[in-house]
Amino acid sequence: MAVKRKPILLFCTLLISFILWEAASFLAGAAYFPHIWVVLADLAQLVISVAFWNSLILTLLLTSIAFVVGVVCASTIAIMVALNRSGELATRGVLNFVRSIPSVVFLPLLVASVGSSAKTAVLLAAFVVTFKLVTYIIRGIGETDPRLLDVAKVMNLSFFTKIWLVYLPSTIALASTGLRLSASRAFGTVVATGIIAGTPGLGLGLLTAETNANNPRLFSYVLVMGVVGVWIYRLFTTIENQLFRWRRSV
Amino acid sequence: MLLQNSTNPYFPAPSEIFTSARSTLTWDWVSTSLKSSLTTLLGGYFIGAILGILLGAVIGSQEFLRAVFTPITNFIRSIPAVAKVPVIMALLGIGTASRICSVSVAVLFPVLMVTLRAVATTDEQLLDNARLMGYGTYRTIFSVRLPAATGQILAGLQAAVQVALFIMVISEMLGSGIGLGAFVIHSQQTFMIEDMWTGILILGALGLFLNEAFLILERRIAPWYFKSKEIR
Repeated sequence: MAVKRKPILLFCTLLISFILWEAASFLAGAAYFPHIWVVLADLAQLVISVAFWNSLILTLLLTSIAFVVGVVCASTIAIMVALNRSGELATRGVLNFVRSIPSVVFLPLLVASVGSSAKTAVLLAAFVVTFKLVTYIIRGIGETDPRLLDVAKVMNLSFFTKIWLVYLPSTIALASTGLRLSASRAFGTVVATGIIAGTPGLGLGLLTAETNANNPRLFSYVLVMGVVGVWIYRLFTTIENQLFRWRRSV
Repeated sequence: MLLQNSTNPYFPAPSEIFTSARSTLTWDWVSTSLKSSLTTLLGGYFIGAILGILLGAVIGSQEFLRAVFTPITNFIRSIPAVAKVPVIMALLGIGTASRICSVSVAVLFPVLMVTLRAVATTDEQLLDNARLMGYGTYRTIFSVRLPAATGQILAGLQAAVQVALFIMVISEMLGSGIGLGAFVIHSQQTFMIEDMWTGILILGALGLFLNEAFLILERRIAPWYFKSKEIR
């Protein structure tokens, strides 16, 4: 059910956001938690700088590359694992173990072996997408209607045709949820790589602001990341709702 | 097996990692690094989870609050959890309180959103019955809405375990000098690659253990929800 946002509600939301922000600023001290107008003035300065747009575009580009690489890897692993019962049983424990490791812990290893570059961010984010998505695709393939598989057998479909016509349609509804969550995680990982390892992008901007104790700039970057996060989530939810009208995502 | 005779300095043989782990994992190490990490993880997780459930229940049960607060909580939740850590460190420094607060904030918003949605979609029949029995707002929340939302809240709490672990590691890596995250990054900086792998494997085991423990807990607290998940 679509919620009609009345102007009065929007006003209340903005007013409460302002009150909560200023209360936090009052409690923590304006030097640590700057007033909203100070942050907005800094944000206005930030968004007119070319360096900001370069780092934003680079972050989105790295996120997109990592996302595509992760989707390809996850699909390949899932198809190899899910279509082979013994393969699934043999890899289940390993997949669960790798998924349990917080991805960021591999960052020191990547920095040591690859260096602190955009490549590091892409590799780590692709790893995150792969292991986030792979379980959704395996589950999706596992839930394929056995009658469809029988029909495919009777029609003597080739391996790739079977994947395209039988498994993909069965998997896509479940995988779309995984895609939406993975996209947000990929963005978060690219930012995390910037904050911890200083790889280029929005994360590095935030790290620089923190190192220089430039709190208005720090909060400006956080607001930008919130907007990008909402935008990525909305983009995937809209695509999902358009593709699968019978099951709306919220 | 692939790494059995590895000569790659970044991917040592398991036997080398095991030998290094035996010398590293002393009682002192466990009582400092592991204890600090678990304090951060569990302290932050429980504070975030309790606040998330309470706020989510209150906001989700009132239509006006829901309409006003959903965009705010959605926005804060969309900020990558890792970006909130430097803000908290700028406010609270790099001590234990700051690390626990980072984990709490990271857990709070996903749990709050799940609870809010679950509480907002309570079966109308249950609410009608509560009204007939003369339940007030808070009794309805705690006796009707929250119990009905247990399954979904548990799913949210389970997802939040991984977020908590992720933020625990990051908050330790960003200058705390103590805990498993700091141990891993310190090992990399001093080229003790086997120690780094020891830390990675311990974190993996910790994550796996917490996941499995949560599944057992879920089966105990809400067996009906677990069964419905299996059927699906």
